[in-house]
Amino acid sequence: MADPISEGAWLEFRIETADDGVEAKKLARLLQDLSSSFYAIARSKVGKRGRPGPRTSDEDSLAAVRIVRLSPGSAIIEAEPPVLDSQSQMRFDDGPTTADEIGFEFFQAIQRLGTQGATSGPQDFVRFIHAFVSDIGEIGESVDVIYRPVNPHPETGLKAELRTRLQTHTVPELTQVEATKRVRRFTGHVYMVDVEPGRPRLRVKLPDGRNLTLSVSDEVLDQLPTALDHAVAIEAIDELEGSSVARTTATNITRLPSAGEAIVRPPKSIEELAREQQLPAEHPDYVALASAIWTTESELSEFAEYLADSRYGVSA
Amino acid sequence: MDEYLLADTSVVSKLTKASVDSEFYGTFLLSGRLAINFQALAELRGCKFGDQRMQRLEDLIAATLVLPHSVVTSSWYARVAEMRAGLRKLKARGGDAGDADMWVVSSALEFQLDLLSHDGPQIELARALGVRGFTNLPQLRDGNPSLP
Repeated sequence: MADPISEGAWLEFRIETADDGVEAKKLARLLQDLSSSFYAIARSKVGKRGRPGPRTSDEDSLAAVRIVRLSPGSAIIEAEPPVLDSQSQMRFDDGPTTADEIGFEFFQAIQRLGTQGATSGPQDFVRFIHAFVSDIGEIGESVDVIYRPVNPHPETGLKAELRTRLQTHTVPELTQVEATKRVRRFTGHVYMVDVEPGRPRLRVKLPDGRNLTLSVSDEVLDQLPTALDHAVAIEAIDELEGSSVARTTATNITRLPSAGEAIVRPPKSIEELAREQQLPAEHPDYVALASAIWTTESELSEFAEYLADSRYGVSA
Repeated sequence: MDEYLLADTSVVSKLTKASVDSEFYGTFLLSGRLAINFQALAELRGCKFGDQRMQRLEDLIAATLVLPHSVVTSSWYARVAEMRAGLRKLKARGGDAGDADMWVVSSALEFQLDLLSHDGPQIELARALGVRGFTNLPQLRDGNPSLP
């Protein structure tokens, strides 16, 4: 079990360096790539991949507070969690993602580099993290990475400190994963659209309850305002890197009639119908009743064939 | 008042212990009550069973709430048809639902009942219209709504 949380920075990097110090320009590049990694993870989580645009105040705050401590033989970088602006668009700790999700994603990616030698990945941010680790390699051979979540994990309730150690010179080169595309069609309810120039997107609640954030192609921009708060059918292109979906872009949106519009009541309620039909007061054993009708798999197959023929004119 | 669940004809037969899907669908009816609509009733009675077996079928029907057709059902059918047309245009799943499927979905909408169905196109069409559709079809099970 992991150690209980202790006082300390949100993310901490303890780098073993040479005793004769660290060049300032190498340190500056390292910090820049650390910031870029945070931005890229945050954007990948809200469907902004590939559309840089101006940074929001929350994005800026992701890497705003960093303290570097240098001493002979070590460089320690400490990052604090974002100072949040309630007016920001990213809302890191009030959905759709949290600062801890970003920190945890970052930590896991570092861990994968160290333990699995993973050299590629579906997200943009992998190359930024890889660059960050390479930068560390410029000033030291190993680094201890410590992640201390601000809040307990929403599912496990755990608030454990996580640590990993990475030998920077053994991390393999980053390799490219071949990108492919596939067309997907689905339906859902559009509950948010963002028509900000440069990064239009929409959020859809799928019939199974999941939420999906999509980029939007220029051709369907005009359809966004009328799609809001309506059931839609969407044609989209998934960009795949390996077997993972890196980005989904809506290319066609068709508004569908909503089942919630103009609900009409049936002439008789369920209760009235149940009384009329004099249903048994005791709860019936439906399985026993059905088992007396269809007793074998063969009888079930015959019935399935009958039903398929009756409905579609084909055998099941 | 018991909670009713609307079952498609494809589910009524799979309640039997002879079916591998019996446990899944039967679980819903341990506390809930079974309803079918006029379409399923017609399909069940259209079977060419012998006298004894037909009597056992009537015993099951007598224990089941039958939702009748009304003008309101037809109003819902028009909406369901509009949705199916939209899905067909996009070649989306659910667009291949048949007319019988549409009547069953219309009844689910009219009486605002959850739907049990072992018919893929029907369950896809129902879900596109916001009906809580449960199925044990392997390819669609992941889309089952969460139970309270």
